[in-house]
Amino acid sequence: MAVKAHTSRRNTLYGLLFAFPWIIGFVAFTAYPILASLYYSFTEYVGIGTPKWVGSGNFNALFHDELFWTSLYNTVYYVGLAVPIGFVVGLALALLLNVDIKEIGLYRTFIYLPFVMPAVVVGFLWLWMLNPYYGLLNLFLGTVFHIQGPGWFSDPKWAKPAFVMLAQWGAGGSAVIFLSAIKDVPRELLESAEIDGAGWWTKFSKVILPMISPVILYHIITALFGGFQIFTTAYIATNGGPANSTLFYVLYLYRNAFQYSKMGYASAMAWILFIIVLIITLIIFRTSARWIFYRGG
Amino acid sequence: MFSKKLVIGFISVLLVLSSLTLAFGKTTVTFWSSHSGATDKASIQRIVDEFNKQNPDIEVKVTIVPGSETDVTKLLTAIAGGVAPDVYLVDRFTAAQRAVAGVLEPLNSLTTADEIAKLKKAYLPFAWDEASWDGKVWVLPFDTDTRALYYRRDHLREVGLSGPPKNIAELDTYVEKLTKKDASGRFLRIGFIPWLNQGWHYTWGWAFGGEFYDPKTKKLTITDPRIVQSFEWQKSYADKYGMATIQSFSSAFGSEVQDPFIMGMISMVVTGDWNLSGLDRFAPKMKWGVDYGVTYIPRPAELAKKPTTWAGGWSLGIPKGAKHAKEAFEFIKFACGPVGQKIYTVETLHLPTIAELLKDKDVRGERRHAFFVDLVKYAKNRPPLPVGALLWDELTTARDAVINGQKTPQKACEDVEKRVQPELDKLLK
Amino acid sequence: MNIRWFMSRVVSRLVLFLISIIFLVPFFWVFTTSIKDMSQVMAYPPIWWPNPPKWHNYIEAVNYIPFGQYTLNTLLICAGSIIGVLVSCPLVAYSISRIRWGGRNFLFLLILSTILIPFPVTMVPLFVVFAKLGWINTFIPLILPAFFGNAFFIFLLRQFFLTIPEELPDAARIDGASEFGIYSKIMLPLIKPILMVIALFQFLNAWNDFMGPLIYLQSEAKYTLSLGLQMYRSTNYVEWTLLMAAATIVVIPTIIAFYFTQNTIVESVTLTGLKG
Repeated sequence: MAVKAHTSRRNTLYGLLFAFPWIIGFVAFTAYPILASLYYSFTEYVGIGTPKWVGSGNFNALFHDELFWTSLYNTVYYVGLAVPIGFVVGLALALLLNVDIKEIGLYRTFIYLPFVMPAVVVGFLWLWMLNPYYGLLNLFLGTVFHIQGPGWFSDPKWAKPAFVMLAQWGAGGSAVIFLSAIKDVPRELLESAEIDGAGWWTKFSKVILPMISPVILYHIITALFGGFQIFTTAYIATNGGPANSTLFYVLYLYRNAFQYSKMGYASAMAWILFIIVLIITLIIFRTSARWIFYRGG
Repeated sequence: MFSKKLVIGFISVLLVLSSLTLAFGKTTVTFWSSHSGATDKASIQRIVDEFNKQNPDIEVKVTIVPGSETDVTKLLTAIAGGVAPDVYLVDRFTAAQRAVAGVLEPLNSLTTADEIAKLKKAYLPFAWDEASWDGKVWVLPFDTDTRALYYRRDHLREVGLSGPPKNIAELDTYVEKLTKKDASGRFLRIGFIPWLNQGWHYTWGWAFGGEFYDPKTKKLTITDPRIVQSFEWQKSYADKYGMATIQSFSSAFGSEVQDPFIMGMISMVVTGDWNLSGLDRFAPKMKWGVDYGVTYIPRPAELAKKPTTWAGGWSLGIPKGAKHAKEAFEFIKFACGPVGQKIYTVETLHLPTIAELLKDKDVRGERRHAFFVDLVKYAKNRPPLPVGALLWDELTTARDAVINGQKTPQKACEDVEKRVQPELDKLLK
Repeated sequence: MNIRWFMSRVVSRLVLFLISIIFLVPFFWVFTTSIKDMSQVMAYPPIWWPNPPKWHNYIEAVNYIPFGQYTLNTLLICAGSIIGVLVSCPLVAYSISRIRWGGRNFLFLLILSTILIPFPVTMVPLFVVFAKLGWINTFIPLILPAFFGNAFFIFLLRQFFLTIPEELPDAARIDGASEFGIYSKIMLPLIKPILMVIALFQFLNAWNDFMGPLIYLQSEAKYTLSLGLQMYRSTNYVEWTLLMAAATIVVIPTIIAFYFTQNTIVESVTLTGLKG
């Protein structure tokens, strides 16, 4: 009994000790801004000076704000498409990049490349590549498939799908992580599966997938977080247009904070987003026990 | 071998001495400018150099900061953190908004009422109007610009038209004659697209004689029937020529060398005085008076006698909490005064906001530029409201909804009022 | 067997090749734009390779802004923050994954929830904190936070730690090893590849970070490359050719960094040290 208590106390001590860097950082740099933003969400605040308490005023106003719902819809639409597609593309790329050929290093670099582009350049680049008239994509569609490509960023119906497409161009980032995880799968497991006569698909679904499931969880959660907070590319490429079809949540939030001087309103938006994503995350974690396999126990 | 202590001691003395000289020497005034373009940057630097020369105890230092007309993220964080610059380049129509947000120092607190009155007299009324809010003045106007209708004389000649359109009705018939399509129905050339370039909601609202705000009732008047009419007129182009076709045609419009006016994809366009230098740079072969001309923005026939335009432009302000506000004020008086403005407007071909400079020969320049200078007296300005940026974005949303057929002009205008008026009321209390 | 092996090689090569083309075309475009003359940039039909190529754009681009200074600044911030995350993140991740203590799941959730708050609303209060400390216009706000962990990396490391069987550290504990000894001598070496991934990702974060430098740096001499790229845009036009040249230069170090580390990153590491 005493030994158990001693070990658990010792463990807690070590647990806190190792986590100390983050805890200090949290207290010093993160807790205050987060609590401050929570406070601001109940106030009318221009960003400097004294905030004015309005209780639930901002939240009420948001409920009736057409653009709030538009931006939420736009963001959910984007996340709903980009996250699943991104997962499949990232995983598929990782499998491809696992092939044992000499020049694989080169291919890995090529596919990872887009991920390294500064956002400022990416926005402009795609504006230009997706130009309906002279952009490369429509040119390609026209000459090879003889289809008249859509308006992409200048068509409200196609602007969001354009962003989903754009997101896949950066799939190299997740491919690298998946690749590391795949490489981590113990060779013995794969070899014994082969000996048992398993084909490629069985190896993939019964050995590789479970083994890398912790990393899949990471990918889904971070893709979700990232997707809900899409901002920079939209800010540069379309600034919310055309007709607010790419007015994503954080973009609208940013506008309220810095262009309309409504920091309190923006803070309220931030916390609503926080709660939404937190709920989704908790659901994913709760159900993750069923499909995540932590080899370590 | 020098002992470490000696070296450290020596360096410390040096540091102390140099900081002392800094303390007793010049006052440094930090100036944040977002004009990173080569000509603008060089011209502003020249103003700064001239001021520094004439004021040996002040040194103004320019830092180029990324920003834009409505995005002052960096400034806001700096003020909140108590590290604001002393001078900031403010887009003039946002001055009221920045004033209400407490971002600027009211200039009245830095000088006497007499001096303020004297300054007021020197500037054009609309510019001073934009710089004021709640009985105080918050920035000094710097430059301005005006808009007009550019037209391709060669295109007009080609279809047998002699002069530029004199009113909206004529404009509409001109566009019919000038628009060309190819065999498959795609546009080769559109005579005019109302919402292109500077054909903003404000432009046409004013051209049709409407007013956006009533300062007496402090109410937005977006539903002014003449403004609604201006939206209907813009919609008529979307209906007549097909929004989808126009959209894909205009998405092919580039900028600079690929500017549609230069490429001949449109025959007329509303844009500003800055386009003159753009044309010189990117279409040196196009000659004023031969290939293109400039005329007043078309208005409905009954209003056509009086030219219409509107003016934007910049200003210089002093952020709240600036450490050297007094010296900063000296600088902005100089930069926004006759000497500074003359340097800037002559070099960048912008327009001044100092009334007497409108007659200056060098500022007026050649005839095509003087045309824009003369337009200044007719210029309207965006209502100086603390919801300036929001109003602009809402008007743009409304315009887009109208031309895309998503809302009727009446409803779109009503929605703008519904969304912006409450914000305005809150800030007016 | 032979045919299958052959087919998988050929087919995968083909697919990789095609995908690479898709991924590379935009880069190619950035590059060719960088050697065009302004009049060719938006030409229709598009110009695939300008003739003659205007290599001089690169000289102009490098002179347009203090390229060398900005690069140095950026490298400094990158180096500092990479060291920071490599030191701090594994420590925290180990705590919440392989030390058995009651608060670890709560802490994990707390860490995760900090990334859920969009930056525009925490930006100003955080700035005020740094301002009160007098760290504005220094590189400190851009480097120091890395030493206190990064939620994404902590999360990633946690997941990787969880793939190491608990028997491993347990066995070491029974053998009397100190917790820190287990951490540094057993766990860290096992996740070396992922540490490289994190180093690379942090390099990218810091190299391309725009918002941070925007608000924390006030004198041009301290600007980073990402801020510098903004200078090619002015209110009325964009110096496309120069911007693309600058972008090409800016991207090269990241490409090199990746190419040379990707092999280490993905080389297989068997994590099971146990028999049977």
